[in-house]
Amino acid sequence: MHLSEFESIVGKENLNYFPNTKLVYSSDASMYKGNPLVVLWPETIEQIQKIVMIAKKNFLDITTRGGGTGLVGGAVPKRSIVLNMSKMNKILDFDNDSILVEAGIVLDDLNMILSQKGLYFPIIPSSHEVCTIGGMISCNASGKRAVKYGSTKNYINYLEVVDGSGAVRKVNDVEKFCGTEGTVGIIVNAELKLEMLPKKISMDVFKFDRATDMSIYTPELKEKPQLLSLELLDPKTSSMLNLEERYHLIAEYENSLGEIREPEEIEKWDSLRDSAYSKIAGLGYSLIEDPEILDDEKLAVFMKYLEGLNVPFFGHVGIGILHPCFKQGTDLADFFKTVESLGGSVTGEHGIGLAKKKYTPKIMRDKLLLYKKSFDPSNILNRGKII
Amino acid sequence: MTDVKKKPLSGCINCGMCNADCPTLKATNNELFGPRGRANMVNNNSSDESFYICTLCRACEAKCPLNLELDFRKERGKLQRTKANEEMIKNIRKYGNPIGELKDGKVPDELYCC
Repeated sequence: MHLSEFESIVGKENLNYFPNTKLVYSSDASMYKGNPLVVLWPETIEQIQKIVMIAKKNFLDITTRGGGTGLVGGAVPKRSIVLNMSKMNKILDFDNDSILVEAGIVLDDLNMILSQKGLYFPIIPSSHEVCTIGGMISCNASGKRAVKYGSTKNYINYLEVVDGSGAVRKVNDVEKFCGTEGTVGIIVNAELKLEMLPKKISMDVFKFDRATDMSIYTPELKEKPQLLSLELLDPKTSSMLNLEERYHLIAEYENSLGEIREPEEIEKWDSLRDSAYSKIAGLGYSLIEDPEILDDEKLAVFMKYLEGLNVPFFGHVGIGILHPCFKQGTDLADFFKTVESLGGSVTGEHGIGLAKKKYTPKIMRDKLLLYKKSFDPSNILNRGKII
Repeated sequence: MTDVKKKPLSGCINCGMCNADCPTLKATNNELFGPRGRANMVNNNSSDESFYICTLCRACEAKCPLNLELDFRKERGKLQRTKANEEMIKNIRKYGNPIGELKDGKVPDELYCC
């Protein structure tokens, strides 16, 4: 190993390879476990460049880590150098509709600062308190307000990344880069687009008993320009969250359109939604999926299918992403076949990582391989993920 | 929602939400000094100075969506169970001091110190 070389780059205090550190950094929020060679905390772009050069020379793998909240094992090291980005969390530049940040900044920390200016970064995954901007870009995270704002790629002006040879490159084609899960380049800086914070928020919660009943509400709700999010909890999930065992459709608006207007009540529904996965996982359904089915009618068919499987599910129905949760070890071959037969995609927002490698569509694999070749021909960046 | 009894740490699913408000994680940027890291160590029968650095503020417990008990005092206690500490505690209980029985002109056979 090249510990002394790494130490001379980042300093003794920014390097650790003790067994407990390795244990802590061997996993993310997925059920996958790996094995870090060493954990490094770079503080500058130059340090990352030098680390990459050593890794390239010695064919060592680099796994970049943000908040470690990924659900598909994207940040799980496979005998890799773990590059912990948490010390690169500064705001570098700001104007009234964009902000330049380092990749390790935590989303809620950023939004806390922006709120003083009446602004925010509007992509909000349920891990918003912990996840970093770099991690969100890597997975192209979306989250609850995607029905209004789309996914992370829609809110990036440009990126600065360190490629597999150690060179710094500006990436303008962010759509192509977002979602590459650290396999193409190490994101160091990102210029983000911002939105005005909604002045007022209100909600409606609709309850119903059959999957097909959702079509009574969704078409009309989706037409409303004030709609910020449209979230669904199925009866099993609802029951696990101590709600009535019925479907709950939660519509959030950026004005007083909804009947729920008290901030405390809004916060209650918000945190219920945010904690859904953890609650479900704690009851044994820890294998979370994120299929995306855009067609409303097909989504209702899919919900009927999930009812038949008798598994809890919830999700962002406004954008056709559901999160069915299974017990670990469940054979999902038929599930993925069903998603594909309905014209859906097996992943809508969590990425592929290790969990869905064998379901990566060939066209996506070929495209990524080609893209990776132009950035990381030596294949030292997050080897074995996605492809 | 009603308050329910805290559940054992063995039920941790590694989601990382507990890391959100941890003061020692924020100060160090090292997950070894954060609650998920500590939970990981407990569940793998490992121990570390991290348990001393924990402020016991339980901000992590407030964030845990599974309502797990993230009380690391026991782990800290286990680290303190050295022979010297046990002797000193015994002496304090028996003689009111960590050294043992004090007699004029006599040096104790063994001296323990923290």
